[in-house]
Amino acid sequence: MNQLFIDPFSEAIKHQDLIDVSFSKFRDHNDPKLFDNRIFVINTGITDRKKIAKTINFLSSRSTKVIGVDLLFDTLYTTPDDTLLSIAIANSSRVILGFSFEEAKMPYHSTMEMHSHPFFANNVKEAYFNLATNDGFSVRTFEPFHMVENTEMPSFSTKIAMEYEPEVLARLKSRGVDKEWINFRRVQPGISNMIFPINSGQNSHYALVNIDQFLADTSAYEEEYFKDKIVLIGFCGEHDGSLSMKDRYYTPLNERSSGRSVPDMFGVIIHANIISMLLDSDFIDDVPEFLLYLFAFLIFFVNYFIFLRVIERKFFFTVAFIRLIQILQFIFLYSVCILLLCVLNIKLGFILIITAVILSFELFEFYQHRFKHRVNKILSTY
Amino acid sequence: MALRVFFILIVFLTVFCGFLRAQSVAAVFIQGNVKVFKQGENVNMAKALVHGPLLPDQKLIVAQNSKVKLLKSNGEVCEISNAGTYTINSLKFIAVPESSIFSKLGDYFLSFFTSHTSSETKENYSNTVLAFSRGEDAVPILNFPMTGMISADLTGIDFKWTHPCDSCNFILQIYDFESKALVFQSYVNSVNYTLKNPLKYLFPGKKYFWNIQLDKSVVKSTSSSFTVSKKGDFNLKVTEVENNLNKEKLKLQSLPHTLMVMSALRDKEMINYAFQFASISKSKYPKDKLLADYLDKIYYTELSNRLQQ
Repeated sequence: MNQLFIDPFSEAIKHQDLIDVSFSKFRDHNDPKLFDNRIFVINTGITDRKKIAKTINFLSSRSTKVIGVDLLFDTLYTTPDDTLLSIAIANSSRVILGFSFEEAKMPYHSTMEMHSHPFFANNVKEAYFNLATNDGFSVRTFEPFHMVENTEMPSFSTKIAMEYEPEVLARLKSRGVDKEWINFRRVQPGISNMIFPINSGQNSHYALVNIDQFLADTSAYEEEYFKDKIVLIGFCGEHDGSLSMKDRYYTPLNERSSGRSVPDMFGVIIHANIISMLLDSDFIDDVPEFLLYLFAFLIFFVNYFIFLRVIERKFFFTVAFIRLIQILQFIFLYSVCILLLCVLNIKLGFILIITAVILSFELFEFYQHRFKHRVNKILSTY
Repeated sequence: MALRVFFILIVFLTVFCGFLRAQSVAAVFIQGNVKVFKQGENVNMAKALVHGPLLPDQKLIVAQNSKVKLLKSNGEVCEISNAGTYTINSLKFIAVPESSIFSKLGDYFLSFFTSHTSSETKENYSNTVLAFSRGEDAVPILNFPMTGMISADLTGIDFKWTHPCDSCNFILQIYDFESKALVFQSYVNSVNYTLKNPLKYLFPGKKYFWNIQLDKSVVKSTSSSFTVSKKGDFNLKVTEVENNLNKEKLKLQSLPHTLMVMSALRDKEMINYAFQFASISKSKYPKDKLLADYLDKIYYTELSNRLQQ
């Protein structure tokens, strides 16, 4: 059903969502508990395959539980570096590579689009990198599983979380949800990102190290440091000081939730946020649609009696007083929606509710002047 | 005196109204070979059409496979895609659908009542964000056709290139060498493409250049040029070589025959002809594996030599 007059406005502001305001403005990003010690991120910057091979070899030797490589090796240069990388991947059973798919509408199946060359990906665990968006650049949801060429494939972050903690699969399946809202809690780390509107609070919720620095300091890490950890290898800027726009997207953590802004999070950190969410079972639940309609009806019902009382008492500036009540209701319901999302992880559809508030007085007047006497006539016959 | 004033007024009004009525015409889109000349001028004086205003008495010469779009100041449009000569003031302009601010507002408000899903639901989220990095893309290397003459008489012209990427898509672009106009473009998901019915896009005797661009990337190969030979030239040259071979009264099998013809064509600096002939031989003797292997070897040796150069 269309929410006639409000929906166009929601279309106009579809680059925004209640999630954007709630997560960026009302969540505390300074909580030290948010630092996720389970995930370690290595920024490849502009590197070569030899360094990636060295990194994988080192991590494999340190009993890292999962090595997620957020890079695509679809080009084979037939150089010694290619062989080194291929051997490093083949020798480590912990590596997860990725591919992308092209989404098809039912009844057609999505097809694999870009994938690493079989020289690297042969007999290696693979999952898809795709994330879901409604405008092409803002990431708010992801699909944990998707049918790709007739096979159910996990997403990159789902696969990593499942490898780390196999119970994740059962938890996801029991929810029976196709698409999950990403419960973004952790901001983009890195010195160059500690500015408005990316991370003005200057927080680091994931350990992020440049690949060159990582390889230079391998001896500095304790023997057990990487044991049972998830290490993500991906791109987070050409170097520590660069504010790169490659593989970077808008998320609800962007501190400027309306108007023009810069993308605030690299793909690899989005994957990290999803992994944290899956491991913590920190899902966002939608309120079912029938409850929303019921709630909207209740608003009409309650407002009918409020407006009736206001008109009966013949307050001065009656209409203005009713409008004030509506504004207060708007503020109250908006606050409730934000609180539910921030505190209880419940996403209450705001548009339908606010439509009910806005139209309640007009419908009240319509009922009183045009409809009530007919209803009374019908009721008096019984 | 009064009659004179009246006459002057009439002349002034006629000129003024005529001026008001005249709608300026401009060329806004030109593809291929389109020339322009003034009425009464010699056709040989025709110049290449450029974007911008045109006079009502000018004439356009639109060549085959060329296109031009003209726009009047009142928004009317005329598109010419058929070859021929056209006078500007005799062209039929068509009014485009109303696009005033009021009609746009009307359409917008009408769209309120069409069915669409709420932006709050996950239904209209699609998996289009590809959150990964892939490094710098390698530049494609053009293999065939090589610089020189190529025949368009055959069923198709093969375009071949090399690129190490396993899952890349490419854009093949062919341009007119003189006008730099794009004459053909195709999206390709492999490292070769056969341009079927080439004479639909390419003219015999004309020079073209082509290149390969990586899809969703700015990486582009260097360009390579070729000239489409005149109709029948390929057959003529091959027959000429074969006649010379026949004079020698040698009974040659498929492989030596093909090699000798290719060698003679190469000596005449017709390298594309040589490989086009090799391709014909391969399709003529599909079971001859030795022939296919040998011809492939020659092709790769040629490419290797060119790369080293």
